[in-house]
Parts: sequence; structure tokens; C-alpha cells
Amino acid sequence: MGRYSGRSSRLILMCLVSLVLFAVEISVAYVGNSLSLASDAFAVLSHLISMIIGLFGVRFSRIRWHKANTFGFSRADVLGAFGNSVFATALMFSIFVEAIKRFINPQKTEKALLVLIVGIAGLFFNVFNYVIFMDCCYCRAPQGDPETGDSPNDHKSPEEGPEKKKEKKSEALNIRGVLLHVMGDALGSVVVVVAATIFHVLPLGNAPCNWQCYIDPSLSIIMVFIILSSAFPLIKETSIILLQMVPKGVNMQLLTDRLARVPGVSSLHEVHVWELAGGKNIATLHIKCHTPTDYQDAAYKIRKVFHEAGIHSVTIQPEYIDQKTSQLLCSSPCISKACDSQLCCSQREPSLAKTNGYAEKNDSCLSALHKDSGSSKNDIAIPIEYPRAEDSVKNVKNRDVSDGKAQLSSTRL
Amino acid sequence: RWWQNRRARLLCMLALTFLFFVVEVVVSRVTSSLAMLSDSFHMLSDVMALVVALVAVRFAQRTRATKKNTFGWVRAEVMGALVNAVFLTALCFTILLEAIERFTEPHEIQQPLVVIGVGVAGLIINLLGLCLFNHHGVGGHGHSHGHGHSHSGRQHPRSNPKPEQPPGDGEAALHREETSTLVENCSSSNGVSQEKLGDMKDDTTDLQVNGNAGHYSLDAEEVEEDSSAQLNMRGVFLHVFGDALGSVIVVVNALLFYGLWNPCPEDGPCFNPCVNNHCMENATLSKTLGRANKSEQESITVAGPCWLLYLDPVLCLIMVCILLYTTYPLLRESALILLQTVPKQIDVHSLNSKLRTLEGVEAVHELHIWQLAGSRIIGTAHIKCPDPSTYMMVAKRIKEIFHDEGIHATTIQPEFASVGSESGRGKCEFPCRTQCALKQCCGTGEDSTAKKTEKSLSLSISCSEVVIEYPKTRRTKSESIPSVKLEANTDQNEQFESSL
Repeated sequence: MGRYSGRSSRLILMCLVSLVLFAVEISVAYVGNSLSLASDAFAVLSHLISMIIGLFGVRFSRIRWHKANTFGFSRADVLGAFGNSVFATALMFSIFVEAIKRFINPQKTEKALLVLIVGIAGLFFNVFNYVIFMDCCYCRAPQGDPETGDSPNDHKSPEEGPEKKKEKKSEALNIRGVLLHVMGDALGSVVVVVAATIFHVLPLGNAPCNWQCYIDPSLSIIMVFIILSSAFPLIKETSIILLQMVPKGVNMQLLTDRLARVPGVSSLHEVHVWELAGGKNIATLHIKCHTPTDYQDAAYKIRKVFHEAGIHSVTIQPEYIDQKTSQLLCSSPCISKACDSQLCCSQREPSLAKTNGYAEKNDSCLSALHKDSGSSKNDIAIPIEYPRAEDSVKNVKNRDVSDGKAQLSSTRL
Repeated sequence: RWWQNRRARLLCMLALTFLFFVVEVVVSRVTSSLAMLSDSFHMLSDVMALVVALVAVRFAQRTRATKKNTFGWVRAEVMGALVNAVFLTALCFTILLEAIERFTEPHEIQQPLVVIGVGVAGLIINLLGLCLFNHHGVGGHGHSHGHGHSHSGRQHPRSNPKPEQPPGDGEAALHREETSTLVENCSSSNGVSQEKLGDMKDDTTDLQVNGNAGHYSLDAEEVEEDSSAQLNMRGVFLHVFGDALGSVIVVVNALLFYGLWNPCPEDGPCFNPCVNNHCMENATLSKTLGRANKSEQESITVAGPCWLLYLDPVLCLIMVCILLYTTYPLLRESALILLQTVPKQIDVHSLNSKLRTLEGVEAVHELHIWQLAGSRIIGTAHIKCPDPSTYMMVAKRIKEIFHDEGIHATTIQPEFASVGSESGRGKCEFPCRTQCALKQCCGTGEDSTAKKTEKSLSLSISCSEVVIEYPKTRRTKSESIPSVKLEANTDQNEQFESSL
């Protein structure tokens, strides 16, 4: 069913047409010495690349688990969109440079008629593009636009009420975004046509350059800005995912507050939330509990909290409190202190550790001040050092150096 | 010593290159040479690459978790490497287009002497840059190792601001800040207030503590140049290398041109067979014919050997090939990290089997291994055990197994088989609700593979693995027990939709 919807074949057709158009446009741009046509050609190229990425992305996203990648390849789309945007930015940079050179050293556009014809062809291509992909891709809500390589959300979500409203809104936003994008491209072609028309109507022949020669570079710079304005938001969006940042809809402060209030949880640390791709959020955390039954009760409630926040893949590591360990430090980081630099987050810096208000902190702090010498390979808990309030940080650093690694607080995964 | 520091090197190169760029632009205006202007913009692209790398290094020093990024910004360097690699590819592409254009329409170099001068100057600067970034390009550790050891052995009091630390003046305030937060941490009965404090001053605290964190991580990074840092510097190295190649080509070309080219003199007839210009051809041809008719003794200057004109594009093509060949590994490596792939030295199947064969472990699922950046590898797994006490016994062993593979940051979720459940071993005890199946990272294709495990040789991990081929999936889904049928259905739909 899904395989033969024709979307892939449409994509392939558009890819071929784009390739041909690109080749034609770039050669005519060189022959006719028109910079705006060259920039339009690069825009077509970047669309071509995003379509190819879309094609591959569809293929890859079917793979759920692979021995090279335990998450499947759904991120390939995001990475592809990012790479494509950077590529487009670099190309636009070269056009910009060329335009500046032409301001300093103006050149005429020759063979204006040819440039004009190709420009009009580019304009038609944009419209054609829009028409072909309109029914399948532009008017569907959470489904991203594969043509432009946006990070697509392939799944239609059959969600509850309030989420549907959110979807409608995002659908409207999405359509608007796509329309803006298409208009931007069309504007690029219009720019080419305008520049070529001027040269055609008022040919320069062998005369030296007058004001006409400055139109081409200025219009090219406008085109550069148009294309960059659609590339930059995409770069921002995809780098949020690629940098493992907290996804937009999640408020960490609120989330950790709610989690800390779950009964049975004494404290929690090492909370990590990130987005894999396309709305799939993943979280891991360590919690400290008193007993295993505490943990099992708390686990369900914790998942509920996460579920409400939109995070559906959660891994919870329970740690059991004993007298020696502080509330905030991880009881079971890796087996020896030497691994600290290879942990995802160094244990020396304080971060995002939260405790449940009910817990008693005084005991843990005081008891934690005892230095347990020697690494205990037998326990899960690794002896920790907690600086006194009156100790200056300097002192801690000295101690740090003298016995390997002291941990100020826990941020270990 | 200062040149050991990555940031110092980058800044130094940045300053040099930018200066050279400005000089070139000025000189090009004075001599009105277009070649110089083009070369100057080449330098500008170098500047941009350096800026990207610098920003990445700055970011990556904040290894502390923040509100926006729970992992800290360690990955920034991998991103920086990727951006540089893609940028370089785009540059190669534009050079390729230009070379093709030159093939069809070759033109001579004007003022070869100026070009030689510019080329040599650029080459010197690029060679300097190559030396600066050299041991990153080769991929070796260089001298930072030995240096690092002496560093950490020394006691350096924190109150001494190091030159490379950005908020050096905030040092005192920083100490106060940190001790105050620690104090709050310890003595306040309500842990929330400390967080609020941190929240309000989010940016400033971040920045200030980051200065400290930067301090720490500088140590760590001087001890062992993290491979993500190496990636970043490799990107810069390749840029400078490409630029150096470009300068070499320019110089060689201009030299040969200067030596061998026989230019058309301003006055007098000249036949230029290389430039394909119809009008000129006719004119010169008729002229030559006319001349030939008149006097055979008059020799006509013929513009120099034509192959010289094609030397430039050919050399450019060679340069593009070399650059692409050296950029591709960098591109691949950074892309693989960003895709959350399993690092190549780890074999997930064998890890899985090691975990499964432990005493007391009934099943392993949702096993995920990925690389954050450099040597920081993160793993998560759900381990199914009969009861909590068994789990306590095996927990240490599990961590050791991960540690042996080089995975030091792990989150292990124990699951205990609920009493009286005939669901079998593979079921995930804490899945999200059924309608979340689409939004889970890996789908809840549980149990389908539990029975397959015995048959198939390849290891299947229940709860996260869904078989790729269509017919198999359908069959196994139908085998699943009623309690998970709902999820199985949605999973099936999901499968179909993903191919839309």
C-alpha cells in the first residue's frame, strides 16, 4: 500500500527534471554572464539534494534496528537536512562574494534572450514543483515536507483531543511555511527574469557598463538573502536535535519538579532528555529510593509524568540509599574513578540534581564529609567527597589533585 | 606552552588570515588585479572555517549540563567538524564548476608577476597554518600527552586565572557563587530553592561556572586530546591544506605562464589560436590571409603554447580530487557520531550475549549504545531479573561488562517479572501507554522476537527490535499474546505509514 503511492516515483521524476534544469541553468549562466541565473541554479541544486535526501530518508526510516545503529536510521533525515542547509549556505556565500566582485568590476550580461528564456523555464519549474507535490506533501500536517528536506514526522498521530487542536495549528503553520518557501523560490526566478529583460530591452552592445550592470549583482544579493532566510531556520531546528538538546516542548524545570514530588523518590539525578528525530523523545534518569517496592511504585508514576510531558521512551535506574552516600550523588557510576573523563557528564560539576523536599539532607551531608579512602570495587557506591561549606573551593581542588578525583556533585550517567 | 592550547592556535591563525585578507584586498584595489581579489576571498572562506571551529571549541568546553542541554555542549565540536567538511565540499564544488568553465573558455593570466607574489605570500601563511595544526591532521596525539601529565601533577590554585579562561575577572564572584550554591545545597531543607536560584541566574551562572568547568575540562583535554576535538581540528587542517594546495597551483601556474607564455603584443597583428572567438578569428584570418598575400617574410606573432591555458583547470581538477578524498573520512566520521551509531569498536551482538548469559539475568531489551562525542560512550538497557535481590547481585557485574567495552556512562533499568504473568520473558515491564507506541524511540515490538530468539542465530532484542522484512513481521505479530496485540497493531500501521 504505502510503497506504491507514487510519491517515490514523483520524487524521482522531479529529481531528474531538477538535474537537467540545473545543468542548463548553470551553463547558460556562464555563457550569458548572468549571476542571478547562477544563484537560481544553485537554489535548484539545493532542492535537488534535499529531494535525494528525502528519497533516501524514506528508505532508511524503515529500518528499526541495525547492528550498526541501535536506534535505526530515522536521524538520517535530520542530518541530511542539516548538511544540505550548510551546503546551500556555502554556495550562497560564494555567490555573495561573486556579487561583490561584480560591484567592484561590473560586467555585462550577454545573450540576454537566452537568459530570459531559461529564467522563465525556471519559473515554470517552480510552479510545476508546487503542483506536483501539493496533494501528497504540502497539505499534510505533521508530515514534514520531504521535498525541502525538513525533518519529517512520518507518522500520523492518532492522539487525543487537545493534541488535535495543536496539530491543526501546526498544520496551518506548516502550510504557511511551505507557501512562503515556494514563494521565495518563485521570487528568485522572477528576479532572473527581470534582470534579463532589462538587458534584452536595453541592450548595451559594446558600450561600457552603465547602471544596468549593477542590477544583476544587487538582485543576486537579494536572492542570497531569500535562500538564506529559509536555510537558517532549518539549520537551527536540526541542530537542536543533533546537539542532543532538550526538545522544544519540554520544560526541564517543571519536569524535574514534578518528578521529585513523586512519592518514593528521594532524589533524582542524571536526568537527560533528548530528541531522536521527528518527535521521538527519549529520557534517562537515576533515582534514589529506599526500597525496591518504593521503586516499582514510583516507576509507574514517573513514566506517567514523562508521558504527560510527551516523552515516551524512558529508562530509570534505581539506586538505593545507604548511610554513606549523599542524596545528590550517583551511587553507581562506572566502576572506578578513573572513568570520570569518559562519562557523559563529569561528576565534578553540580548540575540539575534534585531532591525530594521530604528527604533529610543534614545526615547525608555530614556523613558524606567522611572521606572513604581507597576506591571500593566491591560496592556499587563509590566513596565520595563532599566539600564543607566553609572550605574554599581552592581547598577542594587541592584535595582533588591529591587523591585523584573528588566529586563535588553528581552528574554521572 | 600557550601554543599547545587549541583555542590559542585557532585565534592566532584567524588573526593572521584575516590580516592577509585585508592586505590582499587593498593591494588588489591598488593594482586592480582581479586574481588577487579572488584569492583574497579564498582567504575569507578560510577565516569562516576558523571561526566555525573556534565557536565549536568554545561551546564544547561547557561540559556541564544546562537547562537547554542536559548533556552539556560536548557535541559542538563534532558539529563544527561536520560544518567544516560540508563547507569544504561546497568549495570544491564551486572550484569544479569554475574549472569546467575554464576548459570551455580559457583565458590568460594578466600580470603574472603580481599573481606570483600573491601566491607565494598566501602559501607562506598556509604553510604556517599547516604547521600549527599539523599533528591534528595526521591524527596523532603529539606532545600534549607529556605536557598534560605535568599539568595535572601540579597543584594549581584556582584563584589564579589562566590566560585562556574567558571570564577571568569573574573569578572571585565565581568562587562566591559556587560556594553559596553548595552551601544552599547542603543546608537548605528544601532542595527546590537551590534550583530556583540556579534557574534565575541561568545564563550568568552557566557562564561563570563554565569558566570553572572550562578550567577543569581544559585539564582533561590537555591530558588526552579528545577525539572530538581532533575531529574539529582536522576540519580546520583540511581547510588550510586546501588553501595551501590552491596557492601552490596558483604559483606554479603563474610561474610557468611567466616563463613560457608568449603573449600577444599590444601593437601589431597577433593570432591567438587558443581563444575561441569567432569575430576575432575571422578578422585575424582575413588579416593573415591578406598579409600572406602581400609579404611572406613578415612573421606574425602567435600567442604562446595553448596547453598552458589548460594547465590551470587541470591542476584545479587534481586539487579538487585530492581535497574530496581527504575530506570524505572526516565527513563520514562526524556523520556517524551524529547519527547515534554504535561506535565501531563495540559489537552490540556480543555485548548482548554477554549480558544475557549472566546469572540472574532473564532478558535484556532496549539495549542502546551511542557515542556522545569523543570517548564518551553512553549505554542504556533494561534488564529483566526475577527479583530485586538477584538484581543487586548482578548489577555490579553488568556495569563491569559495560566498562570493559569502554562504555562508562550507563543507565540500567531493572525489571522484575510480575507475579503470575504468563507473558514470557521478553515483555517490557514498563512500556508507555499503548497509544504512545508510535512515539517511542524504537517501537514496542515486544515478545514477537522472544520466541524467535531460539530459532534464529542472530540475536534479537525484544522490546526494541522489529524485523525489517514485511512478511516475517506480520507472522510474528500474530503470534503475540493478546495483552500486547493492541500495540502490535499500531506498530503494524506504523510500519506501513513509514513507507508512505
